[in-house]
Amino acid sequence: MHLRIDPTRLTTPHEAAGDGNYDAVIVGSGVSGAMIAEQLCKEGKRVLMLEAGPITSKSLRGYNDYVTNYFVSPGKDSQAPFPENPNAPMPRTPLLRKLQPGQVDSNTYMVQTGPYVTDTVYSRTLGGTTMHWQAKTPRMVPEDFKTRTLYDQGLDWPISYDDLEPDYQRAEREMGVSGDVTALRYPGGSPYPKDYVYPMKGMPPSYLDQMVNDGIEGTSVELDGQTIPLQVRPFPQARNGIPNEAYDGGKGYTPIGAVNTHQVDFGERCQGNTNCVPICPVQAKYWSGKTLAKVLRMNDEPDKGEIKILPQAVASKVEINPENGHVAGIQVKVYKNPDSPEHETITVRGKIYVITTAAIETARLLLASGLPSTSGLVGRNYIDHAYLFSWGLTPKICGAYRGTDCISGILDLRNGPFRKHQAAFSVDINNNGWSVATSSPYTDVTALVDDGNLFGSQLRRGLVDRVSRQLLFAFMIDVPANESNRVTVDPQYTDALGNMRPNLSFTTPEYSMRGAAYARQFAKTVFSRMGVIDYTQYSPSNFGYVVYEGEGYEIHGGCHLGGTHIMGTNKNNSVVDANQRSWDHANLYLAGGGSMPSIGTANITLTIAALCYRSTRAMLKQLSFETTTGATIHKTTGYHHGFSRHCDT
Amino acid sequence: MNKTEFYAKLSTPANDPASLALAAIQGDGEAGTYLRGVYDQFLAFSVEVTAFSRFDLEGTGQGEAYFATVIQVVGYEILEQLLDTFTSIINQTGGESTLVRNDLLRRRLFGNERLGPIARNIVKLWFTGNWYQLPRNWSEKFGPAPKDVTFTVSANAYVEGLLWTTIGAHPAGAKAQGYGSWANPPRIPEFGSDAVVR
Amino acid sequence: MDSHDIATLESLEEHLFSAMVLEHATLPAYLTALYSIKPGTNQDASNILRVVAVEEMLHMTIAANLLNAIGGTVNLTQTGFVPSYPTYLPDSIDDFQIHIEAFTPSALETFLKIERPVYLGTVQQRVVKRRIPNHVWCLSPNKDGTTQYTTIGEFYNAIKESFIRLEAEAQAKGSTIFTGDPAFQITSEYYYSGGGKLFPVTNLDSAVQAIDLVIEQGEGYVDEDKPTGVFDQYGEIAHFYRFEQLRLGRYYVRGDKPGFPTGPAIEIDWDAVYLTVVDPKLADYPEGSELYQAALNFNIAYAQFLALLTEAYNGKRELMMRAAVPAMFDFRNLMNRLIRNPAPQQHGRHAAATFEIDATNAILGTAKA
Ligand SMILES: Cc1cc2nc3c(=O)[nH]c(=O)nc-3n(C[C@H](O)[C@H](O)[C@H](O)COP(=O)(O)OP(=O)(O)OC[C@H]3O[C@@H](n4cnc5c(N)ncnc54)[C@H](O)[C@@H]3O)c2cc1C
Ligand code: SF4
Repeated sequence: MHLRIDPTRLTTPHEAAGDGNYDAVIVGSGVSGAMIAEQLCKEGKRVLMLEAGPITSKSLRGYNDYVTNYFVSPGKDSQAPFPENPNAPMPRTPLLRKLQPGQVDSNTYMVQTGPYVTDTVYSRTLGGTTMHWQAKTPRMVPEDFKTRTLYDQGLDWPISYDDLEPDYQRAEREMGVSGDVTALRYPGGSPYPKDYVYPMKGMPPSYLDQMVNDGIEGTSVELDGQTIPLQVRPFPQARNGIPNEAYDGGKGYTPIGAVNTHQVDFGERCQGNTNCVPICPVQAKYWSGKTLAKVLRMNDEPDKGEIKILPQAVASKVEINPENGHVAGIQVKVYKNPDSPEHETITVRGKIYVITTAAIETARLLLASGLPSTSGLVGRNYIDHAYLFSWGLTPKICGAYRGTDCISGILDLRNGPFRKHQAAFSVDINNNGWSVATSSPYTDVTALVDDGNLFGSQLRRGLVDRVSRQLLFAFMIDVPANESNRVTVDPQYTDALGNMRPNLSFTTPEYSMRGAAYARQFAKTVFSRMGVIDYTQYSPSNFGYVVYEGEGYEIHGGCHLGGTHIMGTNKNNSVVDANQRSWDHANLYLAGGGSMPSIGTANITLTIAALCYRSTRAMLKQLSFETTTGATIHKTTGYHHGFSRHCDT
Repeated sequence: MNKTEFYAKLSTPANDPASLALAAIQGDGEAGTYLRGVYDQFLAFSVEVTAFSRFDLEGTGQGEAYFATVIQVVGYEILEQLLDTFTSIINQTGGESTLVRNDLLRRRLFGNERLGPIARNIVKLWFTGNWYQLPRNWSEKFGPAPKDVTFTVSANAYVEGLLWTTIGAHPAGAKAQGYGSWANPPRIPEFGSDAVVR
Repeated sequence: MDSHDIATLESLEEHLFSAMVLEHATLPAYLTALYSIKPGTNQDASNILRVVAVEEMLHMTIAANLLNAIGGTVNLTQTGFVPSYPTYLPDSIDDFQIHIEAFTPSALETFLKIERPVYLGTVQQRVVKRRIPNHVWCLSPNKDGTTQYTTIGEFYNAIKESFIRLEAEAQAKGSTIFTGDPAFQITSEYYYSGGGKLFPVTNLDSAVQAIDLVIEQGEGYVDEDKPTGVFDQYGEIAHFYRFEQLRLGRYYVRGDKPGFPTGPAIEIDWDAVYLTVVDPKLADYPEGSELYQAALNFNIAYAQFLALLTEAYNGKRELMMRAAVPAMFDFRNLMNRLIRNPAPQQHGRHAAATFEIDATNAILGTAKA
């Protein structure tokens, strides 16, 4: 499909600032920004989208440059595709180090104020973090929405699973999910409507998945007096597979392949490039450019709205009308060149404002604008999954490094009464060997050549033995909301444009560490059932090293950012309402993971997307109300007439 | 282009090392013949230490790039010394078992303080496409080598890393094996067995 | 009824098998050109060649579906299924030959000829009378082979009309020509190749739809009344115009007139190509060399692949995904490896796969009678 971001779809700082007629100003071009834009334009609205990063990925060449950047980076860290951009920086992992008590590390963009260090990342570029996500799309389970009530942990949502269910379906359609509902119906799993099928059939489990299943099927574990049978189940995932002809009452589904400035016919089916993170070379994986391509096409349709994109535009301050608390405009710093801090500052205005910059950046922007909200909860309750890895060698060759990064896992411990005492988890079976834990297979080559003194056929044999047998379980552990885990800003720490950088202070709570300790035991149990040789080693010098009850663990970040502007039932217990609309500022929506009071054991993006549908309905209602009653927000907020523009470089 | 010119051109940053190497070994006259000979030796050595055939190595399209990389980072002289040592080992062990040859390779080449780290780096180049920074004590003793940092030779060098072929997989992000192929066991290519080695 | 109409079911079956031969015959040429491009260079040309090659494979599968739909037999292991290169295309006698060669300006001109558009003319303009050299297997509307279709599109149009007429005749007698086993139809579930959905052919409507897809993706129509010659109604662009973009150095965008693209520029670096031996034969490689062995192994693998496809087209559909698709991805690696190897004594030219399938079968002693 064509993704035509040609000059007519882009706008200039001058034009954007002078245009008083946008229905909505959307900040961010990730999945949240794109889906909201799509829903608004479909209903004839005019949208201005601000994107902090460059729009390199709009063309195949630009997209391929990202792939090449990754290929030529010997470290192959997960941000390697995206060049450094001091004007809109993003967190990067290779420079992280362990913190001593009381220490602060400001070496990387995200200032780590401790006590724990997280290697969580997100991307600031066209497409946002979907450029680089793995695209697993499980739904949350109903219990995840009321963990406070049921388990005395974290926070409840103001809405239930059933409230969100129809929007889950919409999100699954838009992202193009492949999945096998029958394999996902089990006690404690997410309930699907009778006869529901995903747009595309489930991905075939990898050879390794089958091997793990052979080892555990028919066995069980005891937890809290409950017997939990084990089985390997494929995850639903937003990558193109075989369309399911039974979808949509027999209408079927047409996958969307690569989007680009001109014809490229690929990406309509995953090929198994095993590179979903950090970038799918054929775009078989959903990224928000696919939704944006749809929105851009609407520009040509008379009954649809219009989108204008302003790239390299960093939202820097949300301006408030002191009379009514409404947002009056957003101050934006627009730069020409990532290598130079030179920029101009403009203010853009619309009837409503939608900030979709993901939990950390959204909190950063509000706090930098001096808007902690009535509840004081902006930035607080930061949530992310805690990841723990366990790895070993299978007794026989398991064919690692083939397939999608991960197809299947063990999902039966995502839910249960045990959640009163310890965190639930979901287990990924990684198809990319030990790479996430040990930088394999490069480290295997250097170890065998430099330390093992192998060459020639012994080396080849050694590599087969050492690399093709790699199994890694990644445990994704629930972390409940906690006010002291938080994002703050500090004028000491700014980026090249003078915007304050996010500071993160974070601890993995005991409840989650109990889950981690059990996860480690669980891995050992499964390994023993399979005859896997355990190679797991946690290094005390690793930045994520944590000691719990005398045992050391390495806890990694999950890149599943939630909780910094939670939704709730009133302005004192939350930042936004159940439609992600700010309690304090009636024309402001904060859309994204930050609204989620809990994330359970589901990778969060499907839920984020589902919430977008819910929120756009509220936005459309608000916009139509404003038009019909004549009391437009535009009027009330338009106390600045004309546009303000000054150059401060 | 004779070897001095070739080396000088390689040190000019603007030149693409792989095409230079290609031009050098395809060159006419005595100089061309000479450089071709060295390149042949380089491939023969690579065959020995990777257990991939010359056809497979040339099939990666990376031979010239690796040849140039080694010369660029550590110089021509040291590569020639390495290759001469290798050739003399081969001449000496003609007709003998791999076991005997490997022993000599270890003692005189991989175990040589100056040549060992370079030999190992050539092996790693072929398997990963990466030049790895040499051990610090090597640089202190035999350096300095200003270009000696860890780097990936090129995007294609990464894609052509023999590591992936060895394990019947494919480099992450390239040479995908097709939808659903992952459900089958991997097809690990056979290679010349050296049963004598225990 | 004109003498050049496809009058019998048997003749229609022959024509459909010829269609498979034809679609397949372009693959060795397109793939060799594609893989001769040095990696990382000529991205636009690579993309275009890849899409076209992939669609030829799709077209061959559509032809198999059509043949299976009327109860014909698909057998790709039959002697002569893979021509010996250089070869004439059935519609190209006296005109041009297809070579297995690297991506060069002359190869591009050949590709343009292969895919030249259908001129929607009268039935009489569809065929030409020519003398056919003996060794050429040709598509012919009549048994004596003295006439041929002017373009591949005309050939498919003739097939389409034959489907319509033969089915009408059958219906009049209360029967149908669609007597094939529906379980032999390859659908998207079994094979995905980009650029088009594979649907089962079970009746006249689906047959016509399938043939139209092949024509539109391949050569496209040139129709004075339809200004949308370059793109079809789905925004797809035909092979001819895809290649023409390379010749004209610019992409077509919607609304462009044939011959006048206005999209982004395309640059071709003709030097960033491995020049390969033209129409290589095993005999060009030193016998007993690794290169010879690798080229032979490729042919063996390819012969096995055609046997596998034959099984897949004959009811074992699941083999498509399980074995045939991975094999296709494998050929990319095998062909690349050959192309990067210089061929000794060939004036600096590089090797390439020879596609001597009949000869390979003969060497292996497995040639089918
Ligand atoms: C390695 C990795 C793997 C992941 N795997 C999964 C997975 O398998 N499943 C899953 O559900 N989730 C996964 N995630 C998480 C997922 O990627 C995110 O939840 C999702 O992409 C968030 O989308 P978003 O639109 O809310 O935010 P983002 O995609 O982060 O988009 C924010 C956008 O805002 C822009 N922006 C930021 N600041 C400003 C500013 N000041 N002004 C203007 N624009 C700005 C950014 O450039 C960006 O375009 C993964 C994440 C990572 C990093
Ligand atoms: S496995 Fe490969 S093709 Fe499939 S989604 Fe991941 S990166 Fe893309």
